[in-house]
Amino acid sequence: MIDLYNWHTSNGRKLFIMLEDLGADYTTHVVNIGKDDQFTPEFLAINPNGKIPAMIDRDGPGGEAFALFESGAMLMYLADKHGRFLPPVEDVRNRYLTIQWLMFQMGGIGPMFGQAHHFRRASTKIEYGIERYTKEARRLWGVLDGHLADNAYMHGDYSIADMAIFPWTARYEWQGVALEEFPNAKRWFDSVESRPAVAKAMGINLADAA
Amino acid sequence: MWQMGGVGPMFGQAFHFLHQLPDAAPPEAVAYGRDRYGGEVRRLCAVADTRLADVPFLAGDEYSVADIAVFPWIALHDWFGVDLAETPHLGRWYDTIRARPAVRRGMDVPSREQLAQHAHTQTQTREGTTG
Repeated sequence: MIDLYNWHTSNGRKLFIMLEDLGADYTTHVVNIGKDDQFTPEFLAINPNGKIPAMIDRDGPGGEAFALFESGAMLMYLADKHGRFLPPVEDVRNRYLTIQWLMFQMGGIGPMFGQAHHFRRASTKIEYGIERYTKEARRLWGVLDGHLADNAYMHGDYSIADMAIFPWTARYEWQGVALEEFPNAKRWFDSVESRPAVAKAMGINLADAA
Repeated sequence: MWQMGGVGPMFGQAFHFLHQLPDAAPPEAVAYGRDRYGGEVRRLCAVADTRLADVPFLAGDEYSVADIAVFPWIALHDWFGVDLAETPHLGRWYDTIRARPAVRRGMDVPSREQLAQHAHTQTQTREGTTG
């Protein structure tokens, strides 16, 4: 059983998607970041970095509880544990090409889309920041679109790389992007969005429970 | 992943707002960016300091790729106005990693001699094209 400590942000939704796609047994513990729940001693004991998502696998390695934070690490752990959505260690090329695109999300799409959201949605408009991060977001959309012209998914079959990228692309309006501008990415987006697990994960709203 | 999604991107933005701004950047944007990303740099250093109070290396008892990924950013601490004396555990870790022969060699690529040669070549090229 997985105890998931989460909130319905883009990084949080990656784990909802993964756990729903796996059909895994999990319990969501609401961490309302609007109320600074991520800075409570209880949560910081799991993730000293004070960010969702985080989890405790009650049936971790050796049958003992295993706490883990960072969405990318959590996706890799769950994929390896269940043997799904990430090629195994023996399939070196395909495994690392999948991880490569997961890292592209972790170091590029996540942080830079995040900055674009911050500056574009702030009450005080800082044009320099809006321009800098909107430009970078559009550059990243262009990379996605170019790659997806020749690939159905980020690498091979649907994988944790797609799960990590999708919730950030789902905020395209916050980035000032229209999906029609990037037709290959749009085809991928529609395909991922149509998965029942993704639809369920994207519909989760923890505000009612908070 | 903490480095990939946190230290790298946020130190990178702090570097931009400290050292890479165009002359035309408006002062309010500069102040806002330095405050936002400088604050994040200090927060991340504090997170590492707390972790390194309990363990010698980021992943635990052994030196790993986690240390390798974080080190080059901490090595730029002067550029970020970070005083490692304020985070003594991070400072101890930094000194330990820096002393490793492979880290010394890795941080010296390109060598000072190569950098000097590169600068010399560029100057010659510029003079050649404008002359």
